[in-house]
Amino acid sequence: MYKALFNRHIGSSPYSLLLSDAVTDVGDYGAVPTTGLMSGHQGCVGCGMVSGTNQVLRALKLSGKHVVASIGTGCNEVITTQNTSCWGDVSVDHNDFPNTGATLSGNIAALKALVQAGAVAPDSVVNLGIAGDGGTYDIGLQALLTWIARGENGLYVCLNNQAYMNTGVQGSGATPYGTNTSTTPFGKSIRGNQRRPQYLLDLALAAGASYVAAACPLFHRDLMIKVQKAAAIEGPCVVELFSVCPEGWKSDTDVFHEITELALETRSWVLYEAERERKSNTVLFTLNHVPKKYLPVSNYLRLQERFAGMREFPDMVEQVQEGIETRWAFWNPVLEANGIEWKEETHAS
Amino acid sequence: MHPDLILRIAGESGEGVITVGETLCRIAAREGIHIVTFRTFPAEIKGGPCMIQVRLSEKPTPYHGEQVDFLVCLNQAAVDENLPDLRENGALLCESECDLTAQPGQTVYKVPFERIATREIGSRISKNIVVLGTLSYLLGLSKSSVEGFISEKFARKGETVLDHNLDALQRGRDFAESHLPKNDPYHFPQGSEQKRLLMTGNEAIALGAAAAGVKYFFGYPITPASEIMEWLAVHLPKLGGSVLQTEDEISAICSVAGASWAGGKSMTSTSGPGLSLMSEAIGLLSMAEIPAVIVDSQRGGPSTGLPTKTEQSDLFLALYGSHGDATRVVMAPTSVSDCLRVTGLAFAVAEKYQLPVIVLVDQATSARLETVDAHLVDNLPQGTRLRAMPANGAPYARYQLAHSPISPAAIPGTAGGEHMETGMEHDELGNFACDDDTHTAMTVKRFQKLAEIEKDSLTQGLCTRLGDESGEIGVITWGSTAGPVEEAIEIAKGMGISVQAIVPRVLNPLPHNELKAFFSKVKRVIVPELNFQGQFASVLRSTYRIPTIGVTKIKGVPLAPSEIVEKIVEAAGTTKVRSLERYGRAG
Repeated sequence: MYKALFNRHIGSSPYSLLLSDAVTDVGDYGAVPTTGLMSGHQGCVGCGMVSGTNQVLRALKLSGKHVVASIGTGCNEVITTQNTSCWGDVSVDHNDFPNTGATLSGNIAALKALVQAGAVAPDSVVNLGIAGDGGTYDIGLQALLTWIARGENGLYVCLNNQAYMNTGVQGSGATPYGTNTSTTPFGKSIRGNQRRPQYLLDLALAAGASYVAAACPLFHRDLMIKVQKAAAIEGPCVVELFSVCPEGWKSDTDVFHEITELALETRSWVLYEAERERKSNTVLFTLNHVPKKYLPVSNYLRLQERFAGMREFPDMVEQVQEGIETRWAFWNPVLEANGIEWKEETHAS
Repeated sequence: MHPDLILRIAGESGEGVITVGETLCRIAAREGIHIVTFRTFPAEIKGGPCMIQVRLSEKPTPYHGEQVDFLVCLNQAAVDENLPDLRENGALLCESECDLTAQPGQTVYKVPFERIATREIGSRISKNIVVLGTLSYLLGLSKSSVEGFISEKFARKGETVLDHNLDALQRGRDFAESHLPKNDPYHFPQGSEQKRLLMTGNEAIALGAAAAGVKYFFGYPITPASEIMEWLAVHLPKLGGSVLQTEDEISAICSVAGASWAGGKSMTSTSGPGLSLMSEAIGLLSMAEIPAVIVDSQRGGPSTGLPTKTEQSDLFLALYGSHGDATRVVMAPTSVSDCLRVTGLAFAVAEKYQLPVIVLVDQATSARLETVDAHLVDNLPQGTRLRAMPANGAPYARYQLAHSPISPAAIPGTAGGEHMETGMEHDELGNFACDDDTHTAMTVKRFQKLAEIEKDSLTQGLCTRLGDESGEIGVITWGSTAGPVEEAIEIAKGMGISVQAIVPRVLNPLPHNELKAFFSKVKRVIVPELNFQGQFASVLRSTYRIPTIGVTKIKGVPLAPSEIVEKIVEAAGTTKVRSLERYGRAG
């Protein structure tokens, strides 16, 4: 295992400026691409995945490299493969469902050989893998973890919308506790999804990832910096994106902003990153964002009808809240260093 | 009055097109009318063209119909796409802004649905209920039956929503009454006293499994099979069983192996990509002699392929998938009610013979709504696993050859019945053994099962015979293509061509006696199926050494009867040339 260290400074990791061509001011780039994902995709209205993919591709384009993407089957594949022109100058390899990580390995090996043969300029290409939460937490987990274990240079993005959305909202390994999906129906004897998602980024670190980060499209600058860092850092990197899904979350299509803010304020989604220093095998954890106020999780459950059943059961909501507090306690060293009294405020609100 | 009515409703996904079709189906089922539907799904997550075709009939009907009697189109694209399928004297009901040229005999009704919904009612989503109002009036459906159904459907959503929908329904009817004089001959068919169940193929499979006593379901979401897991997730816990969604198909089939070995009736459902992943474990189930039911709802392939379109192209995979000499039974239901019956049969055969049974359906059958006889569940075939009663002291032999091919299975954990169930080649006690004698004896034991299944009373009389038994033209098909074949034979009969057909439900082991008798009576064998290679035809050629005439199609929709009739006519013109009798037969 690794030794965990905490960055006392909340906001950005100390290596950020060194490692990435940080997107500090969009204006600096002038006429450089302002879109990543181009028009022609078929994403639903209010889809968070579209903004996420757009920002990932834009960040990589801004770094001036050619993107070679391996995409697994999922929503992102369905909405971007009918008009492939939406990928612009990105080369894309759509693979089967279970093996985004494995295909990424193949791409990386081939590009290494092409560079050696002089066919491709060194450092001109970034290898990107994109998959959904089903293709990452469930069927593709083995391929992802073994890709990380091989220590190859690349970036894997998980677009997490917390269920299988394009096949009709079936629960996945990333579906939150108590959620009503078509395979975890909320009924009298079984109240929605009884499992809790595993912590993907913890698994990635345990497998040996160089860099992991959790981001959301609402904090686009944070997201793009993370993607650029992941592209610059040596070794396998994993970025997980919070992807609002009105279709599967049964929310209105115009509350993308509100849902993300509530996710952050209730700490249901935490923006953080972790970088590995290989010689000493330490991992430095940086908390990127602390909400101004801590709201009880019931606020987050409010805008999404997938939680309609669970909202009626205070014991279930309490369990979710406890889970959040336990996870948040991980950041105690940072919070204490910054004089943030987290326990009292939670209960006060 | 027409004995049946072929109705198609087309528009944009999300407009409520399917709801209109399904509502009419539910009203019709209550009135005792027989129903078969066909619907297309867009590949998009939201939006994209979609349609539902409903055939309402006084008698049971095998196919959703080729030419449409009454077409409803909600936008211009739907008119452009579907008008060519409208019968010569058919009727079209469409949005008033649509631009079209109808045939002289066709009746066109134009209604400003969009305007009525947005301006008069003030809600665009009510449009489909306005359509339902106009359509039900034109088809002569009583106001009370439609209103009654809508009231039940929306009662739970509160009075405001209900009033809103009843208002939309009334406005639709009113418009028809005052503006649209009835000019076409089409009406809702006569019903009967007998109320019928209305369900999809996937629901029938799930219900059949539940009726057969399935205890454990393991699965992974995949179009078009997910509804089987979704249905069981809701209902199986109430019946004392459980559903577990696994992380992939390999895990699903191996969980089935674990649960079934431990003693419970277990199953999984998937589509082609999932069956590909399960192939290795099919060998395990065969080698370790574990009962399992695997449902494959086929879609267009290979790879991710055409996830929302129908095809019958997994036959080779189902018959031959997995390495080594792996035994399995393959069954193919022909309709929704057949899905129920065959799933029940699959459990009976799997349990009795301790081996995997693959049920091959297709997307069209999985998704289509059909009326089903409510008593079908009562008469499902039964089969139980031969249980071991381990004697004190004597070692228990799981793979006893004396009982070949079915060795009594002990429940793990019972005293004296401890054993190893294994994917390695093994002797009677389950010890790893790779000597030639053991491997031969055990392989023969496993294949002996197929020979016995072919003769078992469970699998007798499962071939559907159609047409005239003296017909010189023979048609053999499998799965849902049986529907268009039945209709094609009727058309050919009307043209004076005598045709007979056979549809086996068990595709491995094939019912040799019945098929040989069939082949000896006909001079031509036509094999219609929905794949490119002619997979079933290929199996028949290699098994029976007969020449076949293939009718294949890979357009994502079922074969049309006219496509089969074309081949029948062609074959009828050549029957004098040579007879099948000239060819030797094996079997």
